[in-house]
Amino acid sequence: MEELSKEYTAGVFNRKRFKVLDGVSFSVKPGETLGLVGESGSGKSTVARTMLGLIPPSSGRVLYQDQEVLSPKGRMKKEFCGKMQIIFQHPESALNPRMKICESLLEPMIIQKKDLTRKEMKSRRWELLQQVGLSEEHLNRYPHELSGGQIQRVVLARILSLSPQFLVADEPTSMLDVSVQAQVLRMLKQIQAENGIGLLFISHDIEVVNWMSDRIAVMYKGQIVESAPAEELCQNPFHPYSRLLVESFSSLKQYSAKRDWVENNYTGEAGGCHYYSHCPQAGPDCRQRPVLKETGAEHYIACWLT
Amino acid sequence: MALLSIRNLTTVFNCQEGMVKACNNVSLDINQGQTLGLIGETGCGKSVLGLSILKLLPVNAVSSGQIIYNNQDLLALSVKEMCQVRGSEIGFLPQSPATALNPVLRIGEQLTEGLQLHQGMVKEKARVIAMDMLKSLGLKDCDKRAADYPHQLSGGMKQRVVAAMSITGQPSLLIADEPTKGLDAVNRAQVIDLLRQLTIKTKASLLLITHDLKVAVALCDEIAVMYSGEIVEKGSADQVLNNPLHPYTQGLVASLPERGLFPIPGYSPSLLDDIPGCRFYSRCPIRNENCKHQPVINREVNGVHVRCLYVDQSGGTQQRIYGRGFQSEAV
Repeated sequence: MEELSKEYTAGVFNRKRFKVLDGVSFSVKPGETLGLVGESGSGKSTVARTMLGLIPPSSGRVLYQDQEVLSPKGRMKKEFCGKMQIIFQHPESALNPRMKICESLLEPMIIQKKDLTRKEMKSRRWELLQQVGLSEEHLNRYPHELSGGQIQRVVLARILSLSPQFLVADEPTSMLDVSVQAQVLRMLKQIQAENGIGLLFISHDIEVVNWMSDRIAVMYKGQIVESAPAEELCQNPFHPYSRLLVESFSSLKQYSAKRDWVENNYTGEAGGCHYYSHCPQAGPDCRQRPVLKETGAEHYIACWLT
Repeated sequence: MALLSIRNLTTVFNCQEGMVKACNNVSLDINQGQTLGLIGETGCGKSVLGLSILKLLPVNAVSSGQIIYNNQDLLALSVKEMCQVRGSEIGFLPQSPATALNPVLRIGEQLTEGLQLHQGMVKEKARVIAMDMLKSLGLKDCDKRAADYPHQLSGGMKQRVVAAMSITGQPSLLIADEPTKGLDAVNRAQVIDLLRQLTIKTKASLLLITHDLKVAVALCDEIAVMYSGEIVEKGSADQVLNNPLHPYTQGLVASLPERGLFPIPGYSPSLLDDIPGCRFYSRCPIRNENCKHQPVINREVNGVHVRCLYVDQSGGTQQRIYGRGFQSEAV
């Protein structure tokens, strides 16, 4: 993924431009998990959707095994769709409410794998069910008859039926309880390890991300401000925003006055660090746009203070 | 003397499929100025308990037992008398601030409305007080903000407006229903600060309903754990989370990311089912035959009330369960 940008425009007379993604670049290796954290509205989900071509980017490109993903059409595009899949935040809305689970599970195979016979599909469906820990009784139900954790399992089984190489998980557990979250995440990690899937794991819960990921990238207002191996980031966050994120998890106990309400206002100043107005250490340099620099082993930071 | 004491509260919903027992024999006490956390998973009846106190449940719900607030039984009050209690005695902080505000009224109006109603103020005075309240909760340029509609505010700002609204009647008890659900880390920390500020300023007691253990630890003095309509463990926050006695609480703690994300196998039973024994039986790693049939009573161990037959006096079951049950059965 290289230099991806997305701009939205709003208004008829007074056109405003919102830079939702601003030159985001990263790469995910096979079998690796990259965690993406950031506050709501920082553009995490937009990254996920642009990568899979669900919304067209304003500029930049996405490469999958050195091949451009977004430009091909027709059969080629369908092939990419099979290899790159996404788990959405609200699994309830990802399943057709009028289809029984058994039909929902066959649907992706019917579209993508035309060479399979019905019988093979059904036996494959059986394997998948076991893999995600569901039983046969669930097959005859409708999505509204299942709990959140079960639906998330069905969604995962659907995705696995296409044996994808790359998976985006867009806050897969933000709506689930801690114990169900643990079930789903463990399953996801196990399946990923068995099939060598590259995973982009998006969440705002830095502890969950730390547990899931090999590397973590922190996003703030459409830019990646820091990226480092998971352990490293949680122990030595450098960028002031990453520090705030890590701190707000570890220090719920005391009241801290410096923790001011962060407000989302995309004034879209040209250039300059996006975090400038909130940064406690902002200096004159920060009026220019910082670039990602490597400061340690695989530790990249976009801040002038380095 | 407790400010609010709930005795044997049972709330049942009459549905087509049968009786749904959302709260089963729940007893709780909240003292003046105390913060009580009610934790448990989705569908265990936490919110129903909160709404039962305020009698805001739909018509097919029937509550029995006693809810004694300041020496009066709330369940016995008429609709009119209940209106006097809501807002001015017991405040409610609803789940999502985005849907709690009226989208077609300016937030200033919505705030002053409460003050006029509960404290009988004239509009001008109510407005001044409302501005003070917003300012004290840390909202910048309140005068300008008061003329805004809810959609013009960010999530964090709305939360503060709703919080201000919930204390317009100067309640002595505040019920907060999942105030941090769906918020990101930074906002969550801010909401916690806000609630802490509120309780210190108004000296109100707080009943915090949440499924987030960390929020509960940060704010609460006491924690009650709810599972499938029953309170299974109740004690001081430190004790319940650092040295949990009930196998369900132990499972909850073990499924936190920093404790290794060990899930509790299985799903919780339907609230429709009438189970004679322990409701956690189907998922419990230390179960045996007795748990299935014998009714489980509350017992007190080191100041913690726990509903389990197999908690020994020393509270030493913890290591055993961690070692065997949750890790090996983890999906």
